[in-house]
Formats: sequence, structure tokens, C-alpha cells
Amino acid sequence: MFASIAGVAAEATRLGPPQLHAPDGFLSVPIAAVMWLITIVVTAYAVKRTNETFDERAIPLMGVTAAFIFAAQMFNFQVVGGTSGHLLGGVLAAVLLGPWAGTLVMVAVVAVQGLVFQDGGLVVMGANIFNMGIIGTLGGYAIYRSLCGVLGGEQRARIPAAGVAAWLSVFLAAGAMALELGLSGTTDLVVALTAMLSIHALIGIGEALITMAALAFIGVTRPDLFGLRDARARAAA
Amino acid sequence: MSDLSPTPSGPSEAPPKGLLTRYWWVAGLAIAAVVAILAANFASGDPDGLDSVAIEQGFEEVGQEPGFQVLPDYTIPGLDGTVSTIIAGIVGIAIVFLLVYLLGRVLARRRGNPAA
Repeated sequence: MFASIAGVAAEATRLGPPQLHAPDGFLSVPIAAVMWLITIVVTAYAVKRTNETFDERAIPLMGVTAAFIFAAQMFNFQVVGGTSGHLLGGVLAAVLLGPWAGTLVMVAVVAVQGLVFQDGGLVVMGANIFNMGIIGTLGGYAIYRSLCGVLGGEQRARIPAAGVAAWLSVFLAAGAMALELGLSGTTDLVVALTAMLSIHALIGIGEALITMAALAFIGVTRPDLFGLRDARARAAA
Repeated sequence: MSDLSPTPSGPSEAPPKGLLTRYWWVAGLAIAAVVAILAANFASGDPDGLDSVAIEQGFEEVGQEPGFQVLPDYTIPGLDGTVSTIIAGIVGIAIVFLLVYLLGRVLARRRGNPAA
């Protein structure tokens, strides 16, 4: 207990954004390998689907979305005493670009963070990409579309649906990370799940607020950008 | 540079005209840079969700140091203070934007309409 308080205090003195993502060693090699495999398969499929459907008019939006998510992930916000959280951005990317181009954005962000900024280990990068990117872009987007359907269409429900999906994506990401930690034998599964889910239930509120604010800002300033995601689908129709 | 600007594709109303329309992505990158500058100054230095769980449950020390360093912890080596993080952040924004932009260029389909 005292050790943990001392640890938190020592961490708190550090300025600027802390190293945020799981470092190597947090997951066992077999679990990290499985997560890499899943991430590679999903990424390859995302490349294929993006190549089939992505409209070139959406390329600048893809770049800007990636840049914004990278910057926003640096901005740790205070949650409760001694703990911070930051945006993941998967739902935001998927709402703007669709799940497949959105996945590629998240792969690029997490890869650059690991390779250039030493934020997140290379062995566990597959898990980091899956947890923070793919869960939000594929899972979060599926939730978003379902909610839009229930709430009377994307036009009307975009912001609340994205908020709920964003919150859930963080919750699911935390659950996945806890599961991987437990299966790796790093810590007790139930204890990890309880701790990760409870703190990320709060961090997810930040994810929802930032996601909704970004979409609201685009809705006010450049609502036409929302049309780029399905640009080719509409052109072909 | 005009090829960077997407042809307006809004389903109904035409988007507003002017610089912000054509080069809106520059404004988008500027917003990202502002976020990075704010992060360098105001971001919480407390451990994030995973890190604080790791500290609490005593497995933080199993985390290994990276085997190499480029811009570790969002800083420029040899440069102190927030300016180091600001520059590192802007470098990161540029790298991520260019990487994803080029990826999009390679993967995206040209429109059927040659006028685009």
C-alpha cells in the first residue's frame, strides 16, 4: 500500500505526457504472439477493404484524423486522485472514415508511438493495436451503427451514438487488456478485470466527451466531411 | 497542392467557399498542433489507467525498458521542458499525417468520374 502510494507520488512528479501504453514484459510471449497474429490478419483485411472501397477524396481526412488522434492521445486528463486517462480514438476514426480505413489510422498511430516515441513495447504492439485500435474501430463502429439504427438514423443520432460507442470501446479495451494480463499470468485475472474496468469506466467518459465534441465541431464547421466515409458507395449507387 | 483538397461531396448543401474549404486539412493539422501544445503544458503527469493498475497490483516493474530510443516519452533528447514535448508532438503529428496520407494515396480508389 505504501509502496503504491510512493509509486504514484513518484509518477506524479513527472512532467508532460507519461509513457502510456503497455510496455514489453506485461504480456507473456505466447499471448503477445496471438495478439500480433490477430492484429496482422485484421490489418491485412483492412488494407484489402480500404483498397476496394476507399474514395481518394477522403485521404486528407484520413491523414488529419490520424494526426488529431496522435495529438489527443498525448493529452492525459485527470480522472480520479493520482490517475489519468487519454483518448483512444477508434470510434472517432471509424465514424469519420469507416471501420477499415479507421483501423489503418489506429495501426499507424500506435505503430508510430511505439517505434518513434517508445510509447508501448514492440512485442506487445499487436495487443496494443488490437485493444486501443481495433476494438474501437470494428467493435465500437458496430455498436455505433446499431445505435444509429435504433435511434432513428445516423443524421439524427450521430453524436449520442458515438458517445455511447466511445465509452463502451474504452470499457471493452480495458477488459481485453485485463484478460491478456490475466492469461499471461502477469496478475490475477479477476483482480485485473475489476481494477481495469472500474477505472476505465471513468476514463471512458473522457473518450465519449472528446469523441462527441470532435464530431459536433465537424458538424458545425464542415458537415460535408461526414459524407466522405461512404463517398464511393453513394457515387456507385 | 490543390490535389490535397477533396472535391466537395456533401449529399445536400454545397460546403462553404474560401480558403478554409480548400485547405481545411491545414486547419485540421493546426488544431492537432494546438492540442499537442496544450498537452505539453497541461496534460496530467499521473499514471494512466493501465499504469496505475500496474503500480497498484505490483506488476509495473515487469515492464521492460525499450531496447532503443528515438524520441522517448514524447521529448527531443537533449532538450528540456515543455518545448521539448511540443516539438516532439509536432514531429509526431507530421510523421503520422504523412504516413497515413501516403497510405491513403496508395490504397484509395480514384473516382469513376474523371472530372474529380
